[in-house]
Amino acid sequence: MRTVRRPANQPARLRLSVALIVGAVALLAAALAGVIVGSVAISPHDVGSVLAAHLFGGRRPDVVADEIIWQIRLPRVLLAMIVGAALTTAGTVVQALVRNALADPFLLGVSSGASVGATAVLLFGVLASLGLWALSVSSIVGALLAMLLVFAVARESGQLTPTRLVLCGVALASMFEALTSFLLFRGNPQATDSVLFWLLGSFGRAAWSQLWFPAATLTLAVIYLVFQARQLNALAVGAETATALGVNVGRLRRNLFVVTSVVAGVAVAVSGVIGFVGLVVPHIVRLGVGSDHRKTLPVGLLWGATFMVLGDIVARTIVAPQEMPIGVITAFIGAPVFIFLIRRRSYRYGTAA
Amino acid sequence: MSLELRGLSVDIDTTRIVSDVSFAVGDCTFAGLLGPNGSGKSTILKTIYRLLRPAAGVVLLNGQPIHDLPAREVARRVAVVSQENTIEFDLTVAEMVILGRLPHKRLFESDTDTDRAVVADALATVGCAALANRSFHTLSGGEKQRVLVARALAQQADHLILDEPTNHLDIRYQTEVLDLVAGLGVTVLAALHDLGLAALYCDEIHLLSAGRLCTSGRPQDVITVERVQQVYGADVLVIPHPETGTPQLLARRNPAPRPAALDPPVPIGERA
Repeated sequence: MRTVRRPANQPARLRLSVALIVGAVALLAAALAGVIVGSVAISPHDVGSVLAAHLFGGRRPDVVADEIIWQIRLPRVLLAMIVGAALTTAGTVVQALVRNALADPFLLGVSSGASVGATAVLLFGVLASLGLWALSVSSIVGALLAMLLVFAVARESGQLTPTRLVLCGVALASMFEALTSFLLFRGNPQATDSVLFWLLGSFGRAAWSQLWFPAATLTLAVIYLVFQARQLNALAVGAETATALGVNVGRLRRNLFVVTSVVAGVAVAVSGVIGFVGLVVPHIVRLGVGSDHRKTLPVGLLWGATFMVLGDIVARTIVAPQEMPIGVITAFIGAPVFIFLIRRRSYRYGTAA
Repeated sequence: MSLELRGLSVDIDTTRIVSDVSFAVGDCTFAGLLGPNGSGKSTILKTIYRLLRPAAGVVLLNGQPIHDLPAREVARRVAVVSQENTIEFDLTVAEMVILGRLPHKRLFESDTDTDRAVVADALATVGCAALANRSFHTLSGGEKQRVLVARALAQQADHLILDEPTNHLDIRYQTEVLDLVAGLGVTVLAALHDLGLAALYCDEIHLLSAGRLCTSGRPQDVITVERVQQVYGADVLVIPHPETGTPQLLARRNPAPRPAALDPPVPIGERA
């Protein structure tokens, strides 16, 4: 077999600036593609004039094009960006928190908890008085309750330990999944279709009014995490090391747990369960820039957002005019990429050594 | 005497691991913490670097209870090389060592030229300057240990806590790491496994037995045939090191072989 002859012990890394520029350019290109591509053909020129009209003022060229671009495609692209960035951020942090390559934000029970909440709304009209917000509210509540349960069960004499967190998360997640299945089984067969579609993830419900909440929670979370990046590095090396370096490990773990649960929970609430992004993209980022969280967090935002926008384009076009659930696409792309990464020489957490 | 333990007791899950241990470590001395497996060496060290809390008694740093001080302040004065050296994440050696600057950094303060200079100095001191861009986990055991010492140096602390720093190392690396640590001129408290090595490097030794302090003193006063028999339950010979006169242990066979065993071995085919 042909082997690449780089000194095995010198990791090949992109400079942070290069990784950020590549990410920004790719994101911009993906976003533009996301606005241009769709079941209704609209010329790039018309797309340009719609965007220019909204951003810089001026005459809108065409009402239909305006409606499609500004009210449907653009919010959808932006939501995909936010969710991609959110899941990647949550994944990066959870992997450091539990020091486990297979960790995923959904490990904390957020996705399965949110699924129970969403299923209850979609099938049984729980919280119907909240109208359009019922789905978001119920899935956030479901995510937070699940997370609190995992947290309570995983605590060991007041401390969170990674192994227990993983084990309790896995066990409780399957319990919640069983609960969702039970609700589906008991529910109205017609309604189960919409539940299944939601469970597999979609940006189809994207609207301007829905963007601010996930954007705001992600922004707050990222600000907190960037301030904690150095502490996160220490924690990733180990709890003893972090303690010896003056980090309050108990408090840091608790905060990270809450922050990632909320970020992932909100992402699930607005887009359903989109698997593999939080697992795979952090690894790709680490392969690119190494494991220093001062680099992986900002780069992950851009790369994760790009990955999700591209995934959504595929989801919208592959069986057009129908739409494939995005979770199907991310798993289809994500799983082989992940396997490829692992099989590629002796991969371990961002090394291709 | 800036590091002192007074009546220290530590519980882990309601089991008393360390009972009423008191000793002080002289400034700029190399103190060894010895004792059989499970005698409480690591527990005492973990309590000093605040991973564990005392059930009774105190650890004093410059006369102040270490558990009442801000964590960052302690980390600027006490650096640790723990047994934790298997990292899952791919950090370079330089990234690993610059973690030692953490207690000196404010929120969101980025690495300065001073930090990078401290890291370069620390790596040069441990003889690992050439490894700065290597992946930490590709290093040999001895290199890893020296890099972890460099991280402790980057903390610029005047106390160094070492938990079995020579564990799993070949003899060459054992002496290399201890030579390095002994030459730093800081206060050192090291849990050590090898009594002979401890005697060779330590100015004073604190010997633990079942969570209690058995005795403290100079190596030649602490490491005696009777004491090793009493604490370790091992039958040994103690002889002076030919160069330093420090006590060295020789294991004994039981039952003792006949002196004839020193004769040249008999080829197998000729045995009766």
